[in-house]
Amino acid sequence: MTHLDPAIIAAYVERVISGDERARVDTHLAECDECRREVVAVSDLVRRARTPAWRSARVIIPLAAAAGLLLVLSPWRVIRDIEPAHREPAVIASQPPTVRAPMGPVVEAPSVIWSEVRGANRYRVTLYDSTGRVLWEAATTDTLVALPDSLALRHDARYFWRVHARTGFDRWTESNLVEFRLMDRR
Amino acid sequence: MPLPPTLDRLFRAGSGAEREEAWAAFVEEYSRLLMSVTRNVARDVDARMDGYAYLLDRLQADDFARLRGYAADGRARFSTWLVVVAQRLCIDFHRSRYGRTREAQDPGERAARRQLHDLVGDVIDIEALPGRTSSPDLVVRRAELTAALATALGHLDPSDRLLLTLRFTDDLPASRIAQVMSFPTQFHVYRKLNRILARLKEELRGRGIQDPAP
Repeated sequence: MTHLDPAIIAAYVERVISGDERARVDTHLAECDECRREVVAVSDLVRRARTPAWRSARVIIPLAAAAGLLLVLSPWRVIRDIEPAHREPAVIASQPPTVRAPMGPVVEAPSVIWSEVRGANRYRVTLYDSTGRVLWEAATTDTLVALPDSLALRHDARYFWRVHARTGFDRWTESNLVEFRLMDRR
Repeated sequence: MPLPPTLDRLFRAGSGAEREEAWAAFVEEYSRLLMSVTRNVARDVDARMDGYAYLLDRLQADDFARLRGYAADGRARFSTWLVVVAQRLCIDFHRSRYGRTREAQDPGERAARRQLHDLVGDVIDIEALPGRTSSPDLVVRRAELTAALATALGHLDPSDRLLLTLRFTDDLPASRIAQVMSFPTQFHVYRKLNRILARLKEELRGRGIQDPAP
């Protein structure tokens, strides 16, 4: 499979690509893992590069580089990378997720929503009935998940739910257990 | 879109000191961007520095041949184009050193299983689904479901197919999908997903597929 040209990828990321060409690129991206990964990475890099905090960072390159320096036309400037070179990430206590909706009496509950936890790469949501029996569970990388229609939640019944956020290998932080109740629309 | 001033100056520079100054100005302006790319590819500091050195070497090579490849055709900004080129160079450098990364599990099967349970009905624990040691009936059933799903997916618009791929194959969160596909918010992504999935469910039901279980 022929991969996308850098100019096409750049134009796609900047949304300056025409309708027909965009459709061709979308088709290619849906089928080509490598180009799709590239577009995702580039869009993330471009977004980060354009945020104000990025511009305050200063990067310094050490002189002790590889043999490739011999081919460089101009002398290197000594630059210091301000990022600390930790062997492992520091262990810090993570804030638990905060449940947002549904809480208390609600007219409908199409989805459950919670706050993002910094550093979390996965969330696990659990729904219980009033006896504590698990009705439904789901794992997601988002901070929102739709409740399936098949749950058939009953009006005036009490339900509880909580969310766990994975912040590291075998490390989870959990929200409070929250109650909600579907109100009758009448 | 016109060439950025530092790039224009670089291409117009003669030899010797003028060229070196133009190159130094280019490095000054784009170092942070290039370092962000190396940081994205390499995890440890030494590998990033080596990658950065490699990047500058390659961008200078053959009278800045790679940089001259930027077509000022009024479309993307030079900085975005540079990110793409730098990313590719870094990945090539990383692969030449460490080889390609191997997938820990079969991504195709995982993607197919997620697609099936997300598209047609209840949430199912993926790990509870039968694996490769299933009975012949289950194997046939799985093949039927996969074929029906593939047909239904083929009827979607390219952008809808891409959205599903980003969500269910790449497992990207809605916030990142919104960024890649320029949706205003992740909620727009969810609404679009729901519409696409509803359409797919309808088509699959039309083919007699009511139950997602293989």
